[in-house]
Amino acid sequence: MRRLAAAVLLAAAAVPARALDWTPLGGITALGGLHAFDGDRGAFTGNADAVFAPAAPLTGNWSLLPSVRGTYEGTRRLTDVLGTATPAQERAAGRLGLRSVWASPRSRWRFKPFADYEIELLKETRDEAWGRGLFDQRRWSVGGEVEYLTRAPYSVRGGAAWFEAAFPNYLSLESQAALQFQGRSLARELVGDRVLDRQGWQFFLSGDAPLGSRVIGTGEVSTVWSKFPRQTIVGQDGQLSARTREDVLADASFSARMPHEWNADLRALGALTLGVTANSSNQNGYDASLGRFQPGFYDFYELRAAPSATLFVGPRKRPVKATLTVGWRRREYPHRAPQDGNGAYGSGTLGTTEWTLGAALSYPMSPRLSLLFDLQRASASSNQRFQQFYRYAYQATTALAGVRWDW
Amino acid sequence: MRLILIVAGLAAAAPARAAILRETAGLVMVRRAGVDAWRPARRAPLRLASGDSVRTGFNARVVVSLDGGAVLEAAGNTQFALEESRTGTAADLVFGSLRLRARDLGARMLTVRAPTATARVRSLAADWSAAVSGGGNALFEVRAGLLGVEGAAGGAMLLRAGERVEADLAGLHEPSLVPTPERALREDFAARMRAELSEDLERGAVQELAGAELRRQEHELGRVLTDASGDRVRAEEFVVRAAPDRFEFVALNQRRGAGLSWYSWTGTFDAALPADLAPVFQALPGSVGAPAPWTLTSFTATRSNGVDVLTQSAAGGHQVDLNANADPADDVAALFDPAAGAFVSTVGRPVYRSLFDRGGLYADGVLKRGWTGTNLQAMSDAIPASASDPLTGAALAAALPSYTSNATAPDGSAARVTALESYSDGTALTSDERAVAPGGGVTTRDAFGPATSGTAYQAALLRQGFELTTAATEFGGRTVDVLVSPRVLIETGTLP
Repeated sequence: MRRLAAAVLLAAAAVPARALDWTPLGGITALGGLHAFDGDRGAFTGNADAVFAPAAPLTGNWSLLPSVRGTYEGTRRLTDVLGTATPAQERAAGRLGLRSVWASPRSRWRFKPFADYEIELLKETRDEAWGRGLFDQRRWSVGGEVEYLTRAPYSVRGGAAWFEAAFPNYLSLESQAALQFQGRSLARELVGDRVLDRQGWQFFLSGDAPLGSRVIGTGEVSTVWSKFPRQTIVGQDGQLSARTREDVLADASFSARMPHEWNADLRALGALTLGVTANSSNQNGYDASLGRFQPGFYDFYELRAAPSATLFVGPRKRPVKATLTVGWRRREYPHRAPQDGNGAYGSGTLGTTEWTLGAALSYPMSPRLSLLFDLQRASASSNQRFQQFYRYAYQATTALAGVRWDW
Repeated sequence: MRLILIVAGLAAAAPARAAILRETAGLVMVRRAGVDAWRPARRAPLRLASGDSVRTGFNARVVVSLDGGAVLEAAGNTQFALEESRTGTAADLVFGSLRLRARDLGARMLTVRAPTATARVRSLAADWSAAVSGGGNALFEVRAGLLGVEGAAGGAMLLRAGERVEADLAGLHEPSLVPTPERALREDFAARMRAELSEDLERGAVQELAGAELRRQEHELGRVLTDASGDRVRAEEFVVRAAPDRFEFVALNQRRGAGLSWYSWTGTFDAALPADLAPVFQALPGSVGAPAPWTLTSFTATRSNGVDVLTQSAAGGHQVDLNANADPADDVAALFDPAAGAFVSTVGRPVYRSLFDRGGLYADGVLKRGWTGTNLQAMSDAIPASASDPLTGAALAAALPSYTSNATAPDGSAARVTALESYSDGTALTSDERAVAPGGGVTTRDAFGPATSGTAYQAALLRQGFELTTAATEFGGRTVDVLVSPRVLIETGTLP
């Protein structure tokens, strides 16, 4: 936190300030709805998301973009980790960001140093209180981005950031067992305490360009290289070694968008997004109830595709917007064997398939206010039959309605 | 009359007047009429003939003087072609933006043709701009003078100073007021910053994914459970190898606001164990056909809440073929196969298990019951402990009380079994076993049928979570509550 504050001060000091003529940006979204998971339905509750960013031009081609964001989710999203099988879960998040942009009209290059701090609070069960959730998370990062304008408005962007992420309420039980049992240790040697805390680098590269006369392509690659300084590696004998865990999570996506216009008041945008996510870890797994060593337990790759169609009706600045999306994703764990309902390991690799269907409508009521409707349905299946801890196969639905106010 | 005809003929024969490229900044290319190649415009002034095209690069700029005193200025990333005639000048704007200014056009026409509309000056003096973006959409803005605009799809209008109109394939939009330069700058700045804000917020998505994956993994590994009451229970299971011939299975639990509770099982064998414990676990429930390569010589199973401890220990272990000993009551008809996750029939086949010559059950260190024997071949031959501790041999202050045991299923619809041991000294030991559904709550009895013990009960239990609550008079009202993998309890023979 201290480092983040220093970075913010440095960034502020680096840019000579003048009388700020700031432009407010942001918006507020408030939605109410339900989430149903395999027939169990959570209570009617709401989601809210508010962003405020006073953008200010500074001297010397610099601009400053501080931002603050607050989010509350009482209704689960289908992009969440749904296999935890709790229809009711609450999430609150806050983020402070500071971004500085150097852009000269005489240059194709733009430079953007940034820093941000984010806190996420999660209540997964009824006995968890705000701020005491097991998976509460704090994260800060500082880095920079470079953008090269190819042909306006298209560009290529790349950057890197150092980050630290901590789960302040997560202390491994084993590390506590090493300390408190009347002189008797139940723990393995070299056990770590804050085993989920991580730090490392994030790299990203993205760009967009016209593909022919009608299609616009956008590509993105992002990588998170996480080091877990308190999590040691499990060996074949189930014991811990001095080496610590390192993960590389990579995500790449490409989307092609094709706008179409029937007339001034009726337009459409067809899009196809393809993506792949992969995680590679040096950590292994160990099923202690069978004495079974599971190398590469955390490795996975995921393929996904999502065609979508959006219809715009009405004026260009404030159209009625209706979107229909179909999503498919297939995840494979190349080193995990699927288990039967009793937990016995079979042959092959564990895989899951998920289909999603989403329909959304945005209806402008005034220049800044829109009505929103969002309905999403997910259906997941898997060859993993042992679902005592985590549900790999489920049906889930989220229905939301509300308003959005834009600055 | 003849003179007029001659003058008119001479005028018609004269070539169309040319435009002059006066200023360039950055990369400016020119393509001559009838030529395919683009060539850099290195020097200004440069004469442009009718049909010539001009293209500007990023951040470039070009100024062209037109006949009649009009000035055309093109910004970067623009391409246009000029067509000069005796009556005026037309610019075909392919993409980019142009600004045109004239003080006194006289009778000359000044036209800009965009893919979706055509604009013509309708006044002597004019200052206006045209821009063509993706899809051929055009935008015309008038600063001074009058401008007539015709849509390619039909429609026409007259724009006055301070007005603008957009045109696309569908035709002309409604005209609107041109924003002031200050407002235009502010809108441009806001648009750029809005894009930056969007990028800034999206950058965290992959970090959010990394954090979510960690949470998913903890759930998948069974480290985050919900107990029968719907409260969160953290759980960790692991194996400790303190000596080559010994291992300890540990299941730790923690509830909110409470300390750790745990179940552990420590086994000591007669030989060093392999690094891969899978075959050792495989033989724990018993070995079919032949004795296991490793004989379990002693074990200690412990349940504790950090204050109270229920300990079951045994020593003097040796393998016995239970299906061939003198006691038919201990025959094993089905044996749990950990690899298959199921019970397999062992009828008529040798089944070797360790029998222990000494053992005892302790609540907070107080011996509740025990047994002794010598090279026991059946547990029915064991002698109940009475006056001394079966493991340490120490004399007891008083003879052990006698006890009775009873197991019931108190809730007809829930998978719950309660076992009670009542001792003659007035003390009691109770064990409350519940099968826990994945989202919390006790599993219904449907999955179990009538079974409350034995292989049918255990087989059904494999598909559930398992919560074990132990109370003893010695615990002073406290309980030991542990969520543990039922598989281990079956493998180690802890379940009835």
